[in-house]
Amino acid sequence: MLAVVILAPVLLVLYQSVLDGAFFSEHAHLSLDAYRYVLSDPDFYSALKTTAIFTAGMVLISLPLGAVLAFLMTRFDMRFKAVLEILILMPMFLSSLILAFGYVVTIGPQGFLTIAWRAFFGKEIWNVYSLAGMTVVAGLSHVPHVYLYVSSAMSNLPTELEEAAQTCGSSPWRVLVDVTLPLVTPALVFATMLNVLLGVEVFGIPLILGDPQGITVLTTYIYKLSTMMGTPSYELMAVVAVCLLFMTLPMVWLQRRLLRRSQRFAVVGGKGARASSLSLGVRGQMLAMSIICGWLLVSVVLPISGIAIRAFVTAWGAGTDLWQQVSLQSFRDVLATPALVRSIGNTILLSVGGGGIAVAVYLMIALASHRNRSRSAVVLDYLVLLPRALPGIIVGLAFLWLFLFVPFLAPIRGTLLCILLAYMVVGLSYGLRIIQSTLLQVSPELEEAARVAGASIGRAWMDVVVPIIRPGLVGAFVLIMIVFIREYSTGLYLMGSGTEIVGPLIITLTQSGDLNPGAVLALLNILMIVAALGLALRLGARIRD
Amino acid sequence: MGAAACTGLLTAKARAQSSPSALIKTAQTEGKVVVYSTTDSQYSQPMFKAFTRKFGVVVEENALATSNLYSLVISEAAANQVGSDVVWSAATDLQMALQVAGHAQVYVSEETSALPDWARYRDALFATSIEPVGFAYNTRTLQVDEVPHTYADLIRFVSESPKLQGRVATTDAEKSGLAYMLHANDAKRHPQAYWKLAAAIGKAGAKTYVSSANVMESVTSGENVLATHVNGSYALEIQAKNPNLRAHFLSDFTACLLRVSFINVRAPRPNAAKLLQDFMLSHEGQSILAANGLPAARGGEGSSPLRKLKDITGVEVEPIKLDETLLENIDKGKRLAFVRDWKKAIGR
Repeated sequence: MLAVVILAPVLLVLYQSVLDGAFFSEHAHLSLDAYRYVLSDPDFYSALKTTAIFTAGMVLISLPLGAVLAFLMTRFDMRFKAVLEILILMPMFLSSLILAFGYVVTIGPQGFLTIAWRAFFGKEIWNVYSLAGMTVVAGLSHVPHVYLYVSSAMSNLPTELEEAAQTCGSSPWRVLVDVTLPLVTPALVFATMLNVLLGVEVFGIPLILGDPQGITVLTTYIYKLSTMMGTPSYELMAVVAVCLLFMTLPMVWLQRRLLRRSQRFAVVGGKGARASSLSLGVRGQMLAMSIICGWLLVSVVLPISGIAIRAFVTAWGAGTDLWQQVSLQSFRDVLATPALVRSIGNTILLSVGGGGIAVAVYLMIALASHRNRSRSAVVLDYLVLLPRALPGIIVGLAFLWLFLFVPFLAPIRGTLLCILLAYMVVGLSYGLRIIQSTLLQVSPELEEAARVAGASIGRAWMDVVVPIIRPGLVGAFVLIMIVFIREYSTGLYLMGSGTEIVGPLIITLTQSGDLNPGAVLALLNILMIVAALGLALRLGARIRD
Repeated sequence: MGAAACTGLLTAKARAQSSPSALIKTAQTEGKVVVYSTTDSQYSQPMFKAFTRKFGVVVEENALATSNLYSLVISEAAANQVGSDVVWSAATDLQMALQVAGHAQVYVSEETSALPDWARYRDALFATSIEPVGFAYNTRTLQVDEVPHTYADLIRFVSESPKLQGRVATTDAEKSGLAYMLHANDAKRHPQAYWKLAAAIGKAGAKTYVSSANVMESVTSGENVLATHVNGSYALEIQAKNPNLRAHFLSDFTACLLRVSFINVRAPRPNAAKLLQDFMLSHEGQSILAANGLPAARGGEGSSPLRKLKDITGVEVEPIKLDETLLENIDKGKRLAFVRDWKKAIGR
């Protein structure tokens, strides 16, 4: 059943790639022309190369930073933990398109910080419109993805081992490198993998920061294929998507190899408890705070202040007095447009309600598979990452076609339910992974004990396993909620009048005219999520105590 | 084919004579009308609201980007799940492609007949507005009288002015279908000047943008000083709100695009579709569109639409030809050849 849901869009894309026209056209025939075209196009290879550099750079920045942040936040008596946690997750709330745009407003060539810098120091030393600029922006903004995985794994680790190390005189740094990191290897590997996939899939950042200069990555290359021939060349787009799929498979294989003996990581056994945090000391606090604040400044304050300013002004740039431009005009315009107002309500419903449903479904899948060492578990590992590997533009089209051409799905097209189904497939890899990686730490003896005591499998799960992994579930819920709010390309073809959602709407709004309504929606989007996340974390915190 | 079109035309003509009040009544029983549209809702909503107020028929507007709209229309038709009644897009060439593929219904009424001939194609495609192709510049860097009004002077200006080096922008003819249409039409109608300008902005290090909003944003902020081949209507609208940007048009050649609508041949609510199509082309609908920044395609009493557009832009405008030659835009060979030349000229 699951396989059918996931494989349907993938198979459709595969089929489309070996045709010479749209699959539903009477004139389409089997043909490998599309492969010949793409594989002999020098632009494809240069996009591939740029993508590789971009992704590698992104992972190199996000992985260490995310791991260090998670370590500081989960293991030590950091102050203002609750607030910091929300702030750390902030960059994830923004679609990369919005994020990139926020940076342009603050540190672009005419950004207000750039202009201020010039007044004091002369020419600025950065350039966001470059491959390096793109990579740094993407790397910093993907830190939360690492953080979320690693911290949810760390918060389930008992602290005894680390306390032991610290008692023996190890510095926090040594504790991290020698004790904690090895124990959370599964989460680190998942996070790396996911970030590689995300890096290949990022669209907004290369589009805004790279494209005007002619820096093309695979996603912007696919975008080009949708218009280059006049009418969309579905077959060429499908070919590139298939190439991306084949790049994913070896990564999943690698991950499986690395984690083959996952039993090693089971440390939450029949005894032991999650215990208190370690002490950092005053100097340690200050150092940790400055690392966190430095990162927050660059990856949260800069882009979000850019968006916030842009939402309140209609003109900016050199020679413009921002104070004179401040007005609520853009907000009034948005509130006067029913579709835009509707989109806000729909998005909340989809992310909170839909997110809850999604996590429940993912939990069932995870429970059904995690003690299962049979071949189907192997297949599942490969399956869940497949839709993630498809670029958003393609996923959006594939789902449109499924809902159009599969008879029993057709009636729900045009409802929020159809958007939720598509989103659940897209969010599957995120949600399932986070649940699985916490499940891995629960050693089987706990369930075995419950079974011996006479509980059924379902009872053992509900009464023993689920309560233990609850922090992981909350983490998964928050993540899925964010993914659903932020997602923009999947819903492009699925939303209609009455089922508008903010993410795709921002894309449509930025096609023509001006960016005013888009900026307002982006800002409202951020505020909405901060509220939702604050609530979720409060819930999570109570559970963790 | 010709005969079929003729009979289609005749029956449509016959239908057009049926009383509008009958049409209103049937439209009202259909209750709503669904529009697939690429028009920003700030431009379209006032007109749709007026329609609903007048007839009590709700307009559901699905906002889409041009190529998404095209994909959605052909996919729905192939799946036999048509959702749109009226299809309204700024991509004149893709609308023509949809008409040729048989998605547009022939419709003749008092309102459609009042359109100028160049704004109508086979009584199936109707231009609702005409939008000049133009330039936009940043007023904090360039003075109003500084920017030349002819191609030759502008080319010299781009090559010589130090303020423009590295700060010229244009729309991306390779990655955006709308941009391709603007560039290809200018290249066809005014080849020598067009290619010289392309080479000049290439030498000045032109940046290319896929969306109209982003190119305008870069000019209002001053990241770029001059942008070529942008939708002049949008530029004029931004100019009205934002002192940093000014729209600019050339006197020796300025083309205008046609925003085109048609009734889906398999519209689920055919009568509401007709009623809305009529309203969009009526004096009332046209003047609401014009008041919100989309210049009318239909003339008012005693004035032609082109004359009105001249009053706005200050130059003569030439509408893009609404005929089969637009299909050259979706001919792969021709398109790839043009894009190759274009990329070479602008230095990509």
